[in-house]
Amino acid sequence: MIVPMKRLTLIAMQSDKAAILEALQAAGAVQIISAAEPTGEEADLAKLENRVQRLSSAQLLLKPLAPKAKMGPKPEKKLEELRAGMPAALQFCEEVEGIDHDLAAVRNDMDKRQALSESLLPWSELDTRIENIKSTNTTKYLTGMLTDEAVAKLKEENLDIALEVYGGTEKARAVLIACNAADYADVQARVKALDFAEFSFGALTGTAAENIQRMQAETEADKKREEELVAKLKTAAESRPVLCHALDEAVIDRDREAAKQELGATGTTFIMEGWVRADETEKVEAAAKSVTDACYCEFREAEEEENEPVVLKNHKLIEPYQAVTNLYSLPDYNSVDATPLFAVFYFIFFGMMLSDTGYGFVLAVGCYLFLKLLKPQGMMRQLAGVLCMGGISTIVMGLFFGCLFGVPWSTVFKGLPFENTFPFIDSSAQPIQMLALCAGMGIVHMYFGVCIATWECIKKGDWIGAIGDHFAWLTCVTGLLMLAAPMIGMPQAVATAGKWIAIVSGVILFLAGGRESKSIGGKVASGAFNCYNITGWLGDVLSYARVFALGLSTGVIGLVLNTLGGMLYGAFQNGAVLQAIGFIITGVLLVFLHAFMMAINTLGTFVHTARLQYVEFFGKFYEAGGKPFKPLKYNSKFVQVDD
Amino acid sequence: MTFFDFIGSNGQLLAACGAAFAAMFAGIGSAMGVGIAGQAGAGVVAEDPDKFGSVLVLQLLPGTQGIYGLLIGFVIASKAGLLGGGSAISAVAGLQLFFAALPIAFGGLLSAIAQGKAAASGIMMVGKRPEESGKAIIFAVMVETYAVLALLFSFLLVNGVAV
Repeated sequence: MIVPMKRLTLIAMQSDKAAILEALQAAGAVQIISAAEPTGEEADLAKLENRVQRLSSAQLLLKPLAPKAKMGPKPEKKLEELRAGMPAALQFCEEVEGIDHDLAAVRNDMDKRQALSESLLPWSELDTRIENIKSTNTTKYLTGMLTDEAVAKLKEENLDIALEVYGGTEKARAVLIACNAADYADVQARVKALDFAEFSFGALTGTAAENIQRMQAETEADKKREEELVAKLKTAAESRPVLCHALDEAVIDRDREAAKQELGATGTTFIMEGWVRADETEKVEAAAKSVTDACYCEFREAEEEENEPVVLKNHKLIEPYQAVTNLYSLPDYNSVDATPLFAVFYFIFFGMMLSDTGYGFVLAVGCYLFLKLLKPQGMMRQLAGVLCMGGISTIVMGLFFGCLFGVPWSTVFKGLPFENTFPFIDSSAQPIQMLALCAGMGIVHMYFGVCIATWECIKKGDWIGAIGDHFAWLTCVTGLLMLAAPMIGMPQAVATAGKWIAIVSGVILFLAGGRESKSIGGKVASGAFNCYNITGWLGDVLSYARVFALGLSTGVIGLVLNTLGGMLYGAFQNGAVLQAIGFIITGVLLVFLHAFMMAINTLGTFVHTARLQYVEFFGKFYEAGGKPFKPLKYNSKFVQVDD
Repeated sequence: MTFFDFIGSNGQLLAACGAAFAAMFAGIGSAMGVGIAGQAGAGVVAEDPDKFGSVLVLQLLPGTQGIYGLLIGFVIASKAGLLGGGSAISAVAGLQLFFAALPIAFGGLLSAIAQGKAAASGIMMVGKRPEESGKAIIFAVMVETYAVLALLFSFLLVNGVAV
């Protein structure tokens, strides 16, 4: 169900503003709407935002070094506790930032030195001190890199130069060229033509080899320093929760400050506009009044053009399925919440697709334990709820249509009186029956969607739309199905009736499809196009074949795994010891394989069941596009804040 | 005995060929699809390791075709008595089983690659807007419909072959 919304207008004294916002944040029930004029307190917000960013990057920095967080419910903290920890956390954050800064500097130094010493390496045979290779008035020196080929060419040119070749590689040989000052320009042009890459020693002194040695020593020292810093970070990482908790608190403060920016204000009072759930108006008023009596709250219905945010509320058992709705899109505020409408179908189709009682049992128990022991929040909790219920459905549907860990029920119940009762339909032996069942359930599913659309139209008073756009499809498809009645032994009269029902519905669809168009030609074209949509119905019905196919795939793959296990076990037949070993190996392997297949099949089942809702069911009536309700509250990631 | 006589008197050979086709081509498709999605996934996870979960789900989606191929391969092999204990089947039945393998062999091959591409784009989407991962999954699942239909038809054909 979509929760009705009220528009809140709250007027109070400026001096109470901070306290009221704090109380409202604790209540977590108001979504504040931006007032027309900004109030100019951006500097505070920027400061708080900066704090969030710093804490966030510091805790991310420590994350890889920190001890693995234990699975479990979030620790519960009082808001005051979090606040008290903030100054220490900020100081700690600064320390971490300092270490990180030093570490970056050291690493940068090492990188630079590494690059320089690599470039000096070809020159290590040059035993002249670098500061002595200075051009004089009569002699000029060129230092740089040439390929071996270029060196050979240069030698052939018989220039008046002295050429020394040092180390390096074939492609880049270190060379020192000395020439007369008068020839310098000429020599330079020639070597440039040979792709001479000039190398400058900069301000280095001593021989190249000495420099390399010195830098190696320096790098050693830096490495030690780096290790020290990393060790420091590691120690700091143990206190990472301090940062995480402070981050939660910083986000809470920032959110409240951001909300403050949205308020309109006069000299001494401020005005707050916002959305409140209709069932929480009292809570909000109480929160504001708990701060001061000098405030005024008014709740009214939304006016036209004011788009209410959407929040869904459902029974405890249906509520997890809101996750499936959310994955698609929230419904429009003025339409209908599909969650309670598709939950049952989701439950049944999930079971039929997974269709292995063993997998269902493992899934249901696993998700139940996950929910109880680790107390996940939000989307995670809802998904686990959906899977837990899906597991229960699978246990039942597995009995009706599937097997137990890939073992057929006839083997499981061997020798018992109901040996051949289960499954009711064996997908691999009676595929046509199972397909018909899936298509039938699909038609029920889609008919239900059409009925919802019809009802929505009637509520708005649009009778023509209700019948012409929606209900006529139901009768048309029913009529076409009745045509096939004689094939399953029903009297011919049913088929004749079906024929006329289909024809009349077709005419209604044709007329309704064209009613918006102006010209006769347009009416005919859009009416005909509307009737053509019957092919869409055919595709939609076929789409439910996936229920059969996925169920079949679980069963057959389970059987394949068991057959493989049987072959493996069969290979260990000589003696009790070997048999025991074979039993253990086969057992471990089968558990692993079944767990893997269960995971893949559960994923496939989850998404394909969701698809049947989104495309085949929602397509008939759903109006998406609701904006989520985002009240000001404690958005904490690491701790559970309670007041 | 000519080559054609040999084939004609050996239905199991054709059936084995069909089983191999189903498992092999659908498997190749899945390997490629999962690979394509995995490459995109590594890029996104490099930026934000916390997205590993939702990226992994998307990467796994093109993996089902390989399983469908294995399924049909297994059903054909067991029907043709290739898993031991079976007697020889006729050449006609063998040829029928071979053709029955083709929908999932090629439907699986191409749909897995296409699905891998859709999943890779979806992974990029998760990188930018992690809250929309559900929609990315749905886009990839749309492609899978056709692999499911191919599986279904292969199965119906195999089921209909009389040996």
